[in-house]
Amino acid sequence: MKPEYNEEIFEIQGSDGQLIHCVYNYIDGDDNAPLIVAAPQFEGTVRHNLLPMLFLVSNGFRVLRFDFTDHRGNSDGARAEFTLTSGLADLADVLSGIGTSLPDDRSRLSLFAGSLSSRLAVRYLASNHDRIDSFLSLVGVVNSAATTLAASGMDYENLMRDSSYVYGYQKAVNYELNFDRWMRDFAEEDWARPDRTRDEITQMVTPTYLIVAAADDWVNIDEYPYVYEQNKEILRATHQIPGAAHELYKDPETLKEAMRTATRCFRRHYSMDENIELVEPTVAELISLNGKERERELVYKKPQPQNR
Amino acid sequence: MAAPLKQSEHAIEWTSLAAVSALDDWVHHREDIFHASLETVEALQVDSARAAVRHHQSNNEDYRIYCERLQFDSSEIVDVASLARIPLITSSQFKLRQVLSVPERDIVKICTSSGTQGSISEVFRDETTLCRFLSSVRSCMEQLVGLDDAYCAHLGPSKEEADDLWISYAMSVTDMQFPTENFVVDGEYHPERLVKRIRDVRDDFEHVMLIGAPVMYLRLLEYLEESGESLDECGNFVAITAGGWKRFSGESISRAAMVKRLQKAFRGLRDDNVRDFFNMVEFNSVLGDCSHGVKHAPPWARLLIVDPRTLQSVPDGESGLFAFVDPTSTSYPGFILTDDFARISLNGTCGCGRTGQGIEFIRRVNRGESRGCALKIDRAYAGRDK
Repeated sequence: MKPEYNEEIFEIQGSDGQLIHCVYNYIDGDDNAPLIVAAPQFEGTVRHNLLPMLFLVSNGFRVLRFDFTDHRGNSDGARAEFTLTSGLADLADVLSGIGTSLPDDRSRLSLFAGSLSSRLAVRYLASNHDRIDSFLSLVGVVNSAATTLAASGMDYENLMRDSSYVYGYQKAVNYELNFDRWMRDFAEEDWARPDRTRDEITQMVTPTYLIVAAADDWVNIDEYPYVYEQNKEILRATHQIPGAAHELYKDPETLKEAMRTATRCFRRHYSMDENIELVEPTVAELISLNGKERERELVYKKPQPQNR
Repeated sequence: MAAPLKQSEHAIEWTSLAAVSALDDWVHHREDIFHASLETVEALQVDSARAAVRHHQSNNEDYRIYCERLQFDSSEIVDVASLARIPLITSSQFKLRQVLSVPERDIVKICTSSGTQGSISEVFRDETTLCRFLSSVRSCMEQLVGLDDAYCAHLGPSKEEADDLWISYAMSVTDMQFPTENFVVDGEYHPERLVKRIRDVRDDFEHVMLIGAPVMYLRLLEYLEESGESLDECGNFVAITAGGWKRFSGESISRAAMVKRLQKAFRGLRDDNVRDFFNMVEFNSVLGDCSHGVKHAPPWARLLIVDPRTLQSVPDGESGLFAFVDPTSTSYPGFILTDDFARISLNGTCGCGRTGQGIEFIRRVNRGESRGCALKIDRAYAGRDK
């Protein structure tokens, strides 16, 4: 059973002036607990990080969730215009902006990021060595072009062959995206090359925990040894879930297994007892709380700007 | 084509966490569960059923004794025909006793039927069982109806208001996938709010889904027809019925007539976007119509039709009592004989291209007490002069 938790909602102004919707959860008496920033998953919102939040908050952490700008959710911007670069800017803005919004932010701050957000985190951590205590990557993307191709059928190589190639607005997973913008961002900001991922990982100093899905069709986990080859020292634990596919949120029991491990990793990192019996939310609680999360989404909903 | 894979000679040593089982791979992870070959489906059904029977024999004393009395051994489950020999429990057992195959502390949700005359079924679901139900709903929506971005208008009450009436609870599960709003509030049905809300949000979503008992659609249609309102360009609308086609008065609702009226009120609504779903509180999987109107079983569940007198399986196409072998429930045996008359309408490849079994429901056994969610909703919410 989950303990009662508190919730505060605020906005952080991003470097481009757009407002980033943030949801902060904590338990009474845990005001000084380590803070975990949970980056949203691509096409997901604060609500999609409900289970990770419940796990972490119930077991000794405070959690900050947020929505990307130019993306589905309650932050500013036209939701089809999201790019990895805009997501990276949001992540950096949140991590630097929490200083004015939360107590004791300067100490004990870790990052939890899944899928494409994990890729953003790698780039952030490559050049930010002092801010984050530890990083947990869940089904992290290491080859953005390959993942985009596998998940949406949109091939970055088309743009490489023809710089005027038009992708248009297409669905990625269940989310319509401006793929011209997405792919050109890949090219301009060098998101597509696994070698760039490797270079950035090589620059990282943050203790890193990996959890991957062994049957992931969107992330080839055989690429992990290559991208981490030059900097295995940062890896504190590496876990795989046999038989699991990329979209862990579709399988709450497997996501719970991942979160059990993630929670223990964070607890170990902060020298908290990692062998305690964890407090675990049930799926019935998840279903019940999901309704409340939907209500909040509605309350803070923003009108969509015309983007086409 | 993506760049060739870059590999390292220096492997990462992965520590394995709990593996996803073969059954859970089908239930939660696969994106094309309705197109497997019959051989694959049958192997899944046989293996999963055998494991499930063994689990319930080991963890449910009543079921173990029942199997012993029938001299049934799980090793008899060797092919799909042998699934019909699995001892079935009747759905009425859930009204009489706690049917439990896990310790009570593992139960995360007690699901109740819509008993209208005092005898309510209680179905105890543990974490695994409820998670699998959630995924069955998702699979039906995504892989049968083809929805992945939709606004869902539920023509009924929230689970809180309906005291966990099963269809309302199932809708709260749907809310995990799509934003879902309930249009029975404080005991009153508000079709006018529903229509206004759809007008407000329809442009934000790829699809608009209406879901509810047929009787609630009738009330919605009455409102629209009396007010002279209609909605245009409803080609992306899907109307899902669930809960049964009989009114509390005993009168049957004509599906064909209702579809015709719906198409007048929601202009552009396609015939094949009016779908019916079947579920009951004891069944941990959802059966949904494809675009050809065939109610498909998910590959892990075996649907059986038995002669009501002999309880022996009848050939495909013949009607009889509906039973099922559903290995997804761990907290109670999902081998259940129901009160519904049905016939297997498909065992192979459907016109829609999907494979497996399809079923057509005919009627419910006449009894003094009725359990249908639609009947309870009719009595509680659809009557205009309550």
